[in-house]
Amino acid sequence: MQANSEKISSKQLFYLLTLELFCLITLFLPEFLSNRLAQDAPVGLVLGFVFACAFGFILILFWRKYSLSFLQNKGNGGIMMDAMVFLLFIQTVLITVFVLNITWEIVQMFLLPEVDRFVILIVFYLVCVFASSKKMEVRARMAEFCGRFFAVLFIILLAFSVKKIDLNQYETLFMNSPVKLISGGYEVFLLFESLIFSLFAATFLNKKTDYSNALKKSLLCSVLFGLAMLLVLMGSFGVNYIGVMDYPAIRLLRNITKGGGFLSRMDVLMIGVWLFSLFFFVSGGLQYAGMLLSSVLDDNTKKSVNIVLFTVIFLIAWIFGNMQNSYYIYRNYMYFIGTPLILVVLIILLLKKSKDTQGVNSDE
Amino acid sequence: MNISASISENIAEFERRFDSCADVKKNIFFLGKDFDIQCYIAHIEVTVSNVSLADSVIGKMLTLLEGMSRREIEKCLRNNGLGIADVTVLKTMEETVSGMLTGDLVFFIDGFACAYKIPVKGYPGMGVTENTAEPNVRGSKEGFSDSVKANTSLIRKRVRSNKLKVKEILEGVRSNTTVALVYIEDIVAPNLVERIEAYLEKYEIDGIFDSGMLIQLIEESKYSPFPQYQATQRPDRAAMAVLEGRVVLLVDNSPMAVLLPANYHNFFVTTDDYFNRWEVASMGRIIRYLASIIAMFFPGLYLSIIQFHSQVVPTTLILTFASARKGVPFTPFVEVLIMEVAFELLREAGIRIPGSLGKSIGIVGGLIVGQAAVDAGLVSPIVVIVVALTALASFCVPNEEFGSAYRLIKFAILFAAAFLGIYGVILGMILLILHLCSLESMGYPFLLVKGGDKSGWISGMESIFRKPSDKLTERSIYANENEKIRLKKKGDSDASKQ
Repeated sequence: MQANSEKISSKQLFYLLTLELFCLITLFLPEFLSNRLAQDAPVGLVLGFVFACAFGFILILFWRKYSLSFLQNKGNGGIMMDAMVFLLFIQTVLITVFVLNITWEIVQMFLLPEVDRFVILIVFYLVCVFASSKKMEVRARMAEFCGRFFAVLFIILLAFSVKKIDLNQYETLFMNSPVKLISGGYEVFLLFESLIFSLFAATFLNKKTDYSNALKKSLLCSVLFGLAMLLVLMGSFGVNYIGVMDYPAIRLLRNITKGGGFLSRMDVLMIGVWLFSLFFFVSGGLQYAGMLLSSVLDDNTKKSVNIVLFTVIFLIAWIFGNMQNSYYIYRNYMYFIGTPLILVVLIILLLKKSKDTQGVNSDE
Repeated sequence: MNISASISENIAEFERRFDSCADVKKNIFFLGKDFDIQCYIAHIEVTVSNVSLADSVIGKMLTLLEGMSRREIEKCLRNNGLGIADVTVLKTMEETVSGMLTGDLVFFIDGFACAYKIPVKGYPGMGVTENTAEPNVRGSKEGFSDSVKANTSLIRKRVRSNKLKVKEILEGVRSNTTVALVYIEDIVAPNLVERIEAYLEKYEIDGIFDSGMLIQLIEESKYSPFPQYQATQRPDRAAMAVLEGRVVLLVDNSPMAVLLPANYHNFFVTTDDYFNRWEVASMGRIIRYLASIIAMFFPGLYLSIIQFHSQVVPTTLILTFASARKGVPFTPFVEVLIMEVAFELLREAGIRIPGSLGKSIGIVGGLIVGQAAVDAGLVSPIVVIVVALTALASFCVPNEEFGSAYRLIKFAILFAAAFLGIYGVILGMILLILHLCSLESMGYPFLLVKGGDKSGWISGMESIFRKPSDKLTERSIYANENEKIRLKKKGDSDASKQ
């Protein structure tokens, strides 16, 4: 093997994507879904997954047509490409802010109730900024290194919780109207939509053809983790209780007690895993936002603009204040503006490329 | 400057260059039947004794030349050189000067526009000694010595193949230290030797006195506490490394060989692992990995639990901690810090005090200071246990340099834990893994060697669990793709194995 340290493998991309999605799917989604769809939460998750698959298909097509070029246009990619970069940038900033606010909330709620929000947030943020300054392959390697440990730990802890499941908690499905179910699925998709970030990491792939493989596996793995967590939570607490709980996944693990060991609270282990996942998401968000800016700016101004960008993201996170507000803003933007526009732009860009290709072929 | 055919010019130049060098011995004498051919030999005083010169092959050859006519001498030298193996013919004065300074004898003869470099006994050295830095239960006890020549021969003794190549480079503008790159031609990764040479050529330094000086100059991340090279005093380990496709870098006057590239896992492997049964070896590796985690995180985790998260551990355990801390005047952080600093003092004193007294200081100091501190109520017995276990764990890592890195990180984690509890420890862990993932050794990732290829992380599970010997069929990731198979049944083709 040659030293190939500047590239990432399909496996690394898979771990990176899965770890980035993991925090949203297992930590945030159960509470949100139970609130929206009650007993039909698993249906909503599956519907969201179906939407995400369709979106993934569009991303794969886009990757095949454009590959690296969407990050290298330097403002010369046409109005649609600029619009795409702009929309991606807004989405990246909003979801990063949302995840940052999840982070400080869970740390303060479950680990450091007496420490100030600012301290928790700034320390985490600085670590993420530092990570975002590293090359993509460093984060990818880190994801590959951590991924298996985390998966094993997650499965073990879920297995410990299984005995608390009460099968009576699973009632009949499809209690909600189809419109509500689709709306719920669409909201789940808004979280899965961060799959679009895979395009950034994919630019560093060893083999360009590996992208679709990594994307599909990551999507499947994330939905399985999400479904497992949701079903265990529903079985353990009941759907109504999950809806009013803060971070029910952590509370579930907190209830696991194993006598005779060193730990009386198993959630601490899993909070560690979630913090890693949140770290991957935020550091990725910062890195991707930086890449988007670099794609339209001169190399000379890149560094100073990055500093401004990092400061602005932190200030927005601080101003939004908590997870609920951040999610509200992210959700409303993506629900009504972001997602439809991104889809339209992606489809136009794909059609444009097909037309160009056809034009070249007919000229020949 | 080219060597002249006139010996008087050569003598004048040589004398000029070594003016006021009392340790350089220069002799003019005459050979031939009529003693009409002027010769000149020069060497560093201690490298050649009078007795050995007379008894040596060169001595005997000179005696033979004494009886020849000028024509015969010319013919003999032209056709046979000096008739001695390992004689190097040098064409320039610079080569000649440097050849003599490496500890060899140089020989000029009138009428020949060249000089002969003849190996003699060389500079004084300790010879091959027992390896004490990396003790093992089974296997050879030999250790590298100070002489680069002796060290290359110790590797050659183990790998008797003509494919084993030794490339010599002179490093240090003033020290002119010989640096040898040892590798197996067809196994070494493509371009690896060239890459190492390119790294070596990046700097110009006045003197190199140990491999540590050189390697710290050429490693990629100079601010990392982790060495990105593997130092060893064991010739068998170096021989194993060349068989894996790695390059061994030897520096004259240094008993430590450097193995390149290196990865995180290399530091947890001992040569004993391959001599012992695989179950025992795997167990040993698991213990070492576990020890590395304890060495970095144990004090930090203890502090987090005591200061921030007492509800994380069972009530009985936290009550034990609380009762042990009863009457201790310091905060848990100060308490742990005092004991950690005391341990570092003992360790440093143990190294600096000569002879066996050093070891005694470590044991006696540890026992007395620890017991006295507990009796005086300055620290709790739990902290003594935590610090002792951490120290023990840091010494389980088979590489001293690597173990030292853990001790440094332990302090960083301790501060993070004192400030933010488990949250601080987790952030420290994130930074640590991030840092390890960003490290490279000669262009290869330090933590995830196989990352990017089929087999996954740190050379796969093979790293921690040593496979049974007959399953260790492949060489390491560094080996040339065409020479990946290290073990096969007689009669099996490489293709069938792959």
